[in-house]
Amino acid sequence: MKLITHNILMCNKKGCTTNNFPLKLVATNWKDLDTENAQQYNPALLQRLCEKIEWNALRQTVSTLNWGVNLPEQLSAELVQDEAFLQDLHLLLVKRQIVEGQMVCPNCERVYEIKNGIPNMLLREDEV
Amino acid sequence: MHSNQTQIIQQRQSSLCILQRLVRVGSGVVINSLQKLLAQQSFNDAIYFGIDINIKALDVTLRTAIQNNCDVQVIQQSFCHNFTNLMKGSVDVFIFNPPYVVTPEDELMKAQQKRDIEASWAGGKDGIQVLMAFIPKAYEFLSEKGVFYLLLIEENLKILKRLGKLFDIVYLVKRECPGERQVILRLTKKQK
Repeated sequence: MKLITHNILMCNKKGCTTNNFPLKLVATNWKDLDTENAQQYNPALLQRLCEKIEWNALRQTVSTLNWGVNLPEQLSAELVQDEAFLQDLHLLLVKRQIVEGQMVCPNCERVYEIKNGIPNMLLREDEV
Repeated sequence: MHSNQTQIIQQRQSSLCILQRLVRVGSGVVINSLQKLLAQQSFNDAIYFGIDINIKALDVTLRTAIQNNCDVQVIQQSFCHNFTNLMKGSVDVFIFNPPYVVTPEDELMKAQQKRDIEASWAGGKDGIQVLMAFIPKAYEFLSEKGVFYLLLIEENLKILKRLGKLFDIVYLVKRECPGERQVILRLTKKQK
């Protein structure tokens, strides 16, 4: 699972409708895709993602992960033209895969497991 | 997918693709093929999501992606239930082969609970019960210029009345397969 996926997922448990995004991410095991399998560095795609992404959610999440990448508070028109910045984003959004971990709802504390790179968002019958 | 369709997708400036396959232990062949076709035409500005309730389908989809040098983001979820509001109106391509076989209602219920291979075909009355639930979601998440490809069989066509209220419908393919007559539709949002 990549951070781009984390950025679009919220808790959907019965009754949990506020403060249910972003999920707190715990990455116990992660790896970077090699160049063969990752999509190639593509500034145009990254710039379009910048328009759509929940920037604060991404920035907060990255700051908790100890990956040695710090994202600025705000996006700007100059920033999305900056090569070094786009390379950071390429690493964070395209190459890096969380293999094992958890996502925890900040509101109801429901835990969503990530196993073999696949997040499991399914709820039990009594949670729907 | 025919090259005409890849052109249509590009003209619509897709930046986000979704393959929604509820449970069809597939292989992810469709979404991986789409990615390769578009890449051949130097179109790489998309993120591909594969969604299923069956973990085996997702595992295989990932393996298919690796073998084909593709990159698919898989999520085990029901429909788009966990997508944030931000995703509304952001999906440029939906591809959905719903469980479309006409089955008794209880078979559909059991299949959905088990989340196994049965859920890939059991469609309940007229084979459209799962699809009925998905239509409003698809409409909500599809972008204004987005395209929604839907695989059905003739028995499902009662759904057209419902679809026609929200979408413009184009028949792309009609074909005879052993045991069923398949139809592929291309749906786009009705312009208000």
